[in-house]
Amino acid sequence: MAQEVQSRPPEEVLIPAGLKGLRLLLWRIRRSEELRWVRVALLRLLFGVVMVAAWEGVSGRLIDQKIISSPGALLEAFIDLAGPENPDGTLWTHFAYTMENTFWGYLAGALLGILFGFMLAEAEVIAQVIEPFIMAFNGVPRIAYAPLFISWFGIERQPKIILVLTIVFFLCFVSTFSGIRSVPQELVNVARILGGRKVDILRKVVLPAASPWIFNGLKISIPFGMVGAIVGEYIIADRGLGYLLQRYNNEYFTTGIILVIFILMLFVVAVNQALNWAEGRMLRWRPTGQTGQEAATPN
Amino acid sequence: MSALLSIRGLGKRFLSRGTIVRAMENVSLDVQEGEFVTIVGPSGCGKSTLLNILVGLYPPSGGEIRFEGKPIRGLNPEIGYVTQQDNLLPWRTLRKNVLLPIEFRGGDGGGAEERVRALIRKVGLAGFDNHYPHELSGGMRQRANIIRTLAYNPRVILMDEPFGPLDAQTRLTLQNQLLDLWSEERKTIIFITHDLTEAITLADRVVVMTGRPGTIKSVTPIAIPRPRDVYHIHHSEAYREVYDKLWEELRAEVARIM
Repeated sequence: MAQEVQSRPPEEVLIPAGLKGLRLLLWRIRRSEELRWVRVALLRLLFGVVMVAAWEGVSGRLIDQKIISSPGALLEAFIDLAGPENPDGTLWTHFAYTMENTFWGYLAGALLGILFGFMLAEAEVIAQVIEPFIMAFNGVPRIAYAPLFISWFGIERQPKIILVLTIVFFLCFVSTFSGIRSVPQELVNVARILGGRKVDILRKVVLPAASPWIFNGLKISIPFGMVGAIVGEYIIADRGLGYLLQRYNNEYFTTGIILVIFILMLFVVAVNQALNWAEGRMLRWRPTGQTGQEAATPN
Repeated sequence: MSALLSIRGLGKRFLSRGTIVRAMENVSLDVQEGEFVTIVGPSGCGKSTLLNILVGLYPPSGGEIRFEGKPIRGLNPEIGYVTQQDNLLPWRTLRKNVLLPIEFRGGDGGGAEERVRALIRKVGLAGFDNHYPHELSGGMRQRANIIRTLAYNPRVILMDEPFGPLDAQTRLTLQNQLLDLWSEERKTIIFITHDLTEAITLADRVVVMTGRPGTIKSVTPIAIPRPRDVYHIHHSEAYREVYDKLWEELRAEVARIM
């Protein structure tokens, strides 16, 4: 309901041109509940600008620019590295490499995770038997498996994709499994009494009831999956954002490191926004306030 | 005339913390086609257990149930169940919720859609067809719950305190609507309630159950002529007489378990 109010276009108002008009507009933005989002957006922008300005001001004066770089240096490096005449590929080829690996690992991991979540949630005994094994495998930081994956799958794409896959698999598996387990038994009983067969109930009751959990799993998997791809590249690779991080680290190229971090940040924020939007649409039936929880960020 | 639903010597024992709890014992009752039977009894007397067994959610520990003379086990498509919680699917609109049992049956062309629309109109929910349950009041949700069961036309409908969570005024309105629906559709209804007035207002016969282990204490025919006025029934002499008699029986049971 609240969303409806927000997205309604502001009332048609006549704003006179010139300074007087500007003041009137600012006053409206400050006071009107309808224009709340404008207020928030403007304040956000202001916050961002102040942060960048402070960074630029401090850099080279209070703190050595080699340590914290500066927005100006960042922009320069971006123009340089994104340019076409770079010897070992532009920023974009590295970005694309990481994202492709993330994408394939994510796709396979999510599909397998959801499938296994469903199967095990329906198979009580098997779930109980293998639960400690799954927890043991999942409890170890994934980076510990990286050397194994490299020796098994080589130094090309495969170990990176597999690393992403294992991370995404478990997140999706656990969220699907607990989502299905938390479907109220009364709903299932009612559906049985109303004449639903097992497949119908799975499709029309269990799957939708578990969908918020599944969605959450898919959401938190994105940043964590990217961690997998980048860690894989960080260990051994000749391409990718993880490789760039590792190389810039060796070269003490702080600006480059921060640049890569910024690219990752922008990407995660964009994907999260897109997912929140999709979730809001798909889960329109939920009371407002329950949709669009923030996804967890990688550690 | 043989009964539509015939219950013989039904009992249920549960194992709880290592001891056997006798929830219900030796319940026998014949329900005729088109009859409205209400059941009252102290809390924990196994009323809900009885309905759960009748609908086939779990088997009895003893006794048998016959539907049209044939013993039944498990779920029976001819027996519908309206639960105390509305149990609507939150991701489906009101109309889609009411259509659910029809979808489960593979639909039947345009007829079902029309019937559902008529039912929605009849209980005053027209215009709310495309609302999600969280956008409806408790009374509206419970009405949707009831017509969802009516939508697929089961011959027997079990109701477990369907108006329990509602406020007094909404309750009366829904009792009134239920009586209207029942007199049109002539379903066989077994209705559990805590509320003695509600039990008398609705019923052809009121069944009083004893405290645990629940068994049938008395069955009282209600001679008040229909159609009944749910808002003024308590003014009638016949009502007061039967109320006093049933309350005495019930009070003894409530006192026994306190």
